Amino acid sequence: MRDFDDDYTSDYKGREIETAGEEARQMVDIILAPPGETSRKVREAVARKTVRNFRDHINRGFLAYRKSVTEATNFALTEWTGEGSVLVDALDRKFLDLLGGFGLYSYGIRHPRIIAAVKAQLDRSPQYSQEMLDPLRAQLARVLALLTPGKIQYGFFSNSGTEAVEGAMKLAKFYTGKKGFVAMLKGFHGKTLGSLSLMGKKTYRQPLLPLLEGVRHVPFGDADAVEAVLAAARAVGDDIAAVVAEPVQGEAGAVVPPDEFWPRLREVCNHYGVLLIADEVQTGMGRTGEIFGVDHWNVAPDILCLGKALGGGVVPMSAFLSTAKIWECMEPNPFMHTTTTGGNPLACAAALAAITVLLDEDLAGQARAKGKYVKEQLAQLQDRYPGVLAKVRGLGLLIGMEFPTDGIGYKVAAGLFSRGVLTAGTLTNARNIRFEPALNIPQNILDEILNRIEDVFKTIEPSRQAATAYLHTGQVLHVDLSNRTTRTMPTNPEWVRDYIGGWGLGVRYFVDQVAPDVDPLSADNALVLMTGPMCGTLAPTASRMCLVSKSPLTGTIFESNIGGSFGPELKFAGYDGLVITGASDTPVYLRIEDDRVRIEDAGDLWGKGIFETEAYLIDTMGPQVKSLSIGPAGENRIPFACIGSEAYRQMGRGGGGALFGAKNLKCIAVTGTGGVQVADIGNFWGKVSTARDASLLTEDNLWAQSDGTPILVDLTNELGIHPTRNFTAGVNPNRRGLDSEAIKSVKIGDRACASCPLGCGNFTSVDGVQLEGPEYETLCLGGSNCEINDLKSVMQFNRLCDDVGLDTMSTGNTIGLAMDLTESGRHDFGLAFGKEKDYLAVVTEIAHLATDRGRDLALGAAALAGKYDAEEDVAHAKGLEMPAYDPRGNYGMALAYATSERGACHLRAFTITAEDPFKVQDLVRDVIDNQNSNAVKWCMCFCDFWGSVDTTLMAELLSTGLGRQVSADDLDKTGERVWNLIRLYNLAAGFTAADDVLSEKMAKKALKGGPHDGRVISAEILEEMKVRYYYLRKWDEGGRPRKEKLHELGMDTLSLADEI
Amino acid sequence: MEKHLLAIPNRCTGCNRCTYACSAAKEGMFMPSRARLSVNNFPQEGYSVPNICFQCPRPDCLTACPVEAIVKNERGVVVVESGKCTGCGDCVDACAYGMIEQYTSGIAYKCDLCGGDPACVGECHFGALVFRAPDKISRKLRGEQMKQRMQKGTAAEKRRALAQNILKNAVRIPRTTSYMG
Repeated sequence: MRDFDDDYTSDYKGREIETAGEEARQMVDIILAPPGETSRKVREAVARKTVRNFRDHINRGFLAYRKSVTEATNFALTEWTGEGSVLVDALDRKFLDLLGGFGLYSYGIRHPRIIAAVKAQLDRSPQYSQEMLDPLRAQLARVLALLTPGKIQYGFFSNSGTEAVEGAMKLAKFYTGKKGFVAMLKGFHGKTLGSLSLMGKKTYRQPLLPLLEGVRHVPFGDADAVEAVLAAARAVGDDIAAVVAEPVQGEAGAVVPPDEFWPRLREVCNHYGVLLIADEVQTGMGRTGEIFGVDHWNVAPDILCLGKALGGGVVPMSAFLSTAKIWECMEPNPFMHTTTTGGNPLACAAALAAITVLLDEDLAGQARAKGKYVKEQLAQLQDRYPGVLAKVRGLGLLIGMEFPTDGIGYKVAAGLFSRGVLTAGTLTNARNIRFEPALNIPQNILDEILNRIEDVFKTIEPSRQAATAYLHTGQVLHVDLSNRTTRTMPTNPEWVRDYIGGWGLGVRYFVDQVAPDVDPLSADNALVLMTGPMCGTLAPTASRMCLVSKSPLTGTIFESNIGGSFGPELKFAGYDGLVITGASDTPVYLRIEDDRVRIEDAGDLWGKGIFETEAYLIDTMGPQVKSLSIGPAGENRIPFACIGSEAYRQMGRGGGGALFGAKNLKCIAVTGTGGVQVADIGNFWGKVSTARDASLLTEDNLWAQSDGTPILVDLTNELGIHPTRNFTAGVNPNRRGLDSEAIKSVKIGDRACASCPLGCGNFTSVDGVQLEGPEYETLCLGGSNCEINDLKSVMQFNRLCDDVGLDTMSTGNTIGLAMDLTESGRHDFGLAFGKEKDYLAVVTEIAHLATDRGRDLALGAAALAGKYDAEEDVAHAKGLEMPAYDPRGNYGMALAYATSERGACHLRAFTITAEDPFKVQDLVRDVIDNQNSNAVKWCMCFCDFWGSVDTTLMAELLSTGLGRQVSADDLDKTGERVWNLIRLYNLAAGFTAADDVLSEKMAKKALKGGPHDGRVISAEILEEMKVRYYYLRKWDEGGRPRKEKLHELGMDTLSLADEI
Repeated sequence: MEKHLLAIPNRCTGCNRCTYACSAAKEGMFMPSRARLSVNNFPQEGYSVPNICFQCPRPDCLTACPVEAIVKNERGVVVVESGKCTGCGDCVDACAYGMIEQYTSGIAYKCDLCGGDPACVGECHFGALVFRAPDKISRKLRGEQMKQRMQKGTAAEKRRALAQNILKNAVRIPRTTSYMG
């Protein structure tokens, strides 16, 4: 590459003739290659070289302004080909053409009839001799004379619009013998020195002053001002040759003058003996809904200029035309105005063919009808997004959109660009963007463009509001799978204030969306996925996010949360959460790439496991993609199917996977390139660092880093609450293969969720079986509870569940029950405690509903027990299989399971370390406090393993991030609000105090082994605890929140409060 | 250079605290897509690779810059003088590690080691990023990482390809007190 920075003007040798020839030949070869036969490699090279050549040989300034460079991701958008209203760049990227080459492409790109005429003429005679008479030019002049209004009869042809204006100015001066012109403010007639004199904009004009003498400017549309200037000019003898105006000002943003303007101009010009020049370069040839702009007002100008579309969008072509009387002044010496190439046969052939298209396809009529439609649609958008679209104006398909600022205009232009719509609008000049497509643009493309415009507006409007909202992105994405529509709405600020985020905000959105009696697997159920305020920041462990919906397993409202990095990615894409309603009739997946949201076909993915699905998404959307997916279990609506992410993380409990399946939703995949803002980054960073060191990375929590959850294997055994052999025993004497030491010996790496310095994940490897895990619940319910004490088998079980998308907890619990039923002779499932082969085989059978036993186990433990009359053998509450802490050895856990909104759940309250596990009075208080404070944690989306975080610390972090004061008391109230709201919802759905119980086994069958050998939790004790629990919560004896409680929490206006 | 930045992939948990911290330090907001380093996660394989700028002894980005907007400062750190940058993107193409990128305006940005106190290192709790005087082992590890050069693709694609190579060649064994890979 030669260095062009040096000054070569004094160095004659500064050239490389051979290279010039070679590079020219290379490009000619590329030009000559048949369409579609230039390899991508060559086209990529062209794209790269074009940027360099623009930089080095055209004007590097363009590179900084053109969206095709500044907004393009990798390769700048490089012109290659196109057809009709679709442009295709050198790398096959398609763009819908809203720009129409600023009015050049009125007939679409490469209209076949125009191309055919030009090609034929090219083969006959491309230029003329300059001596013989050329027939095409002569005929074209006649055709235009017939087409134009008034007495226009003669024409002169040139190459560009500005030349036409130059010619018109010369003609006016010849004819009138006067020198001055009246032009319009904000008018645009070209950038050569003569026409530049008429320019109504300072930027292009001022640096080149002085220009032509005697030019005055008046406001466009003000005929009185024109008259005043003409009168004044006559009074001082400084006379005017012509008044020049565009019928509708194009560059100014499609400004339409008042109806009386043009007729008055005609009158005034007649009165003062001044010519009237209509610059129809942009408005002519059907653009405004009439053949010429002046046709709207039935005004015949003295001189009419044409350009742009005159050449059919194929050959450069322009003209100025006038009457016989005026043209006379050109006759004595026709050489006073000539051109070598203007009106050449190719251009005339193009223009003649273009006129046939104009008339045969009634392009003016099309422009009129479509223009009216577009203006109506844009007016509706203006109503909906007044902060984005300030004004809409124009005539026909010369439409201008005006934005409040250049910045917003540029966002619109850039947003459209990223959605494959080509418009004008540069970084410095984007306040007015023209809507100027081909006049024959198909209706479906027009509608698609309007859709994409709304998409862009959506992303701008809420984000303007969000500019003041820290931590939250300020918008929630609503997806209607039935109608396949998506819409962003501002995150409800009142709900954010009352419910913070995560679980609480999710519940608030959910109860607003779904009536309590809705069937969980119907299209009327909704999925609400909500991140927390701290998600996507350095606040440690804050990357979890919550799903709130109605559970197919329990019929209750439920929440299930997940770590990993889906939450932050969603936030970086610009959303606090998702609300998914309806159901698709075919498999689909939701694809979110920042503000670009699509519902895509997932037919090919249906039936595939989660691992393969994730690999597909990485291939399709890039390695950065984060996703929530279901496997066959979810597709088959197994009520304990989970939702998987990053292979080994799940929203496990409650059957979220089945809800995806019922909606035909295979996965949600997201990539985000945005960020999360906080009020005062320095202060916030300082606060989270202090919290990290002083609260998180302390003795209370470091077990998570050193061991992770497997540490609970030994602890629960010591406490005698480690479910073993289908909740028969509380200790597993053969647990050595499953404990923390066993895990450590096969661990090959630490894993963490996004932004978590604890890194509790153990990546393990045994004989080629690798996964992150198993976690305690799996080790116990999939291990001890099935008496599978071999780590490799439990790892295989875990991987299988993760891939087919089953909750390991419910699956392990259910398999344990089936083993029990088999061994006790109730029903032969071919399963036995400790037998690994069938234990592993049945996982796949459940997910695929492949065998009788698979279909039976797929009912879940509670329904399986119901079917085989085994109510006294099953461990569950409200239908949710019990987790790995036996409540008979800790009555706090019994109350926690019984009162949880989603059934037996260890994440609502966790009392296993209580000093006295049977001291009922203290435990009730502990459960309530723990439920409330955990609720706040799940609203903030902090991890369970930050055990030492309290509402004081959370309030401090939140206040710093939000830049407004939130107190610990506010947060405590939020925790209570969540519990009261889910309670109201479940009551309205028909659940009562009688449902706040455990399965009979807990009362009727005694725990075996360990410190609590022989213990049960009797119905009476649980009842006693419930009474106290309701009383302390200020609920009535039926478990219904009392009015005063709801009033205290500011919830008495909720309609749910009336329903009970 | 007294100290160098070293990435030890075997220790990385994939938590991305480094990229959050980097973007907070450089952009004033949490925006990992604009961080000066990145983490390539392989969740299935349970592996993560931090991609860092090596501050190359002979930086290709510097050589490629047509306007000398990239310089090596007195501490040996390769920095972009953004006032001079014309946004041509030649440096992005030139870097074999994908560690220099452009804003939408075209202006290039890259790691400058935060003037000697890298924010990323301060947030790495598993020792996967260290900033210290070079020694024999660290030089070797760094050398191995630098040897794999990617000429094709976007910056992100180059980083991914590098990370894939590192994963492919990683020796992963149960944890001992000093595993560095």
